[in-house]
Amino acid sequence: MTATPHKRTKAKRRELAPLEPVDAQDGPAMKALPSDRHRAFVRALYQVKPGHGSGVKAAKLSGWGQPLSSAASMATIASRLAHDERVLAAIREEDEKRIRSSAPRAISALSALVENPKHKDHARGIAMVLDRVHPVEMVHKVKHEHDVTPNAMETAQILQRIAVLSAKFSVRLPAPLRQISGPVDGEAVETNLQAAG
Amino acid sequence: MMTPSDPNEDDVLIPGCPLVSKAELLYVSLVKSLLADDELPANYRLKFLQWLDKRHPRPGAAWEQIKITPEIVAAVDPMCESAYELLREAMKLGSPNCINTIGREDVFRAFVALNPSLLTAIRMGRGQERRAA
Repeated sequence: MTATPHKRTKAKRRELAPLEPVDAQDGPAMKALPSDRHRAFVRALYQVKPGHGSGVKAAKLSGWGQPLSSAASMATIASRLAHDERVLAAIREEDEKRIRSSAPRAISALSALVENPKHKDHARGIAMVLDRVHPVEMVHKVKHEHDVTPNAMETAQILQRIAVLSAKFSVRLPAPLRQISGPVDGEAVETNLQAAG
Repeated sequence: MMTPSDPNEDDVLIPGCPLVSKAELLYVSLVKSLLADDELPANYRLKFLQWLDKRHPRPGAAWEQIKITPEIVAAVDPMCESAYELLREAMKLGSPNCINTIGREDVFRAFVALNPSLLTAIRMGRGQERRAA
């Protein structure tokens, strides 16, 4: 007796939530798109889960295709949309907007870091605050980054510098000093304190 | 003439100290408390020490600003946990409001009560001015 191959039934597609109307000013690239469906497609790309099939989901969510459109035709529509130069420009513009709008969250995260002395990155948070939020007027800023690898020569120089500065300010040195393991943000910041009071 | 230990002089030292210098001394105290932690990684230790090393007014800064010399840094004691809690509360106000708050006479007096070395540092700063004059 031969077993008949069991045909897998396709599970019912999960309904996607409709997009909320966005009452925000679009940028020039978004405005330059030929239709609202194009704009909805760009916005939908940020709503769907990233990964394989996200373009098709975004296309469906923004009203492209027909209820009976096959998966292949939806994939074609999504691919054409995603490779359209105008859509790409709008995506770039949306990316920038979203990155800029995430700044308050980043600041909240930094505040949380500063407010919690038990946090492992507490010192890092304080260092960032001292660098950026301290009452200083940035006159000019030269930023460079160099990687401090555990090179014996460099490590010795850094440890010596720590020892010199610690002696200068009568700060007790821990013994033994920990090895430098990560990159140090080299940031030369010239500051000018302004009397605010 | 007032002597450094004259209580009347102490009364005018805090109101007479510029806001920026008060804030700077508090941050010096905070940084010293962080440096007192043996677990502080060497890269942050160096960064904080370099920050302390940069505490000198630029030419053209307000003349009344205290020059944070290595002697003054050495004289400032590390910030205690209570003062740090107070400072963290003020930091929640954001940069300009935080500085204005911690520079207020009553608030700064609270910090001085917790860390009298701040007053010593202001006195040292004023002493340097007198010697320079």
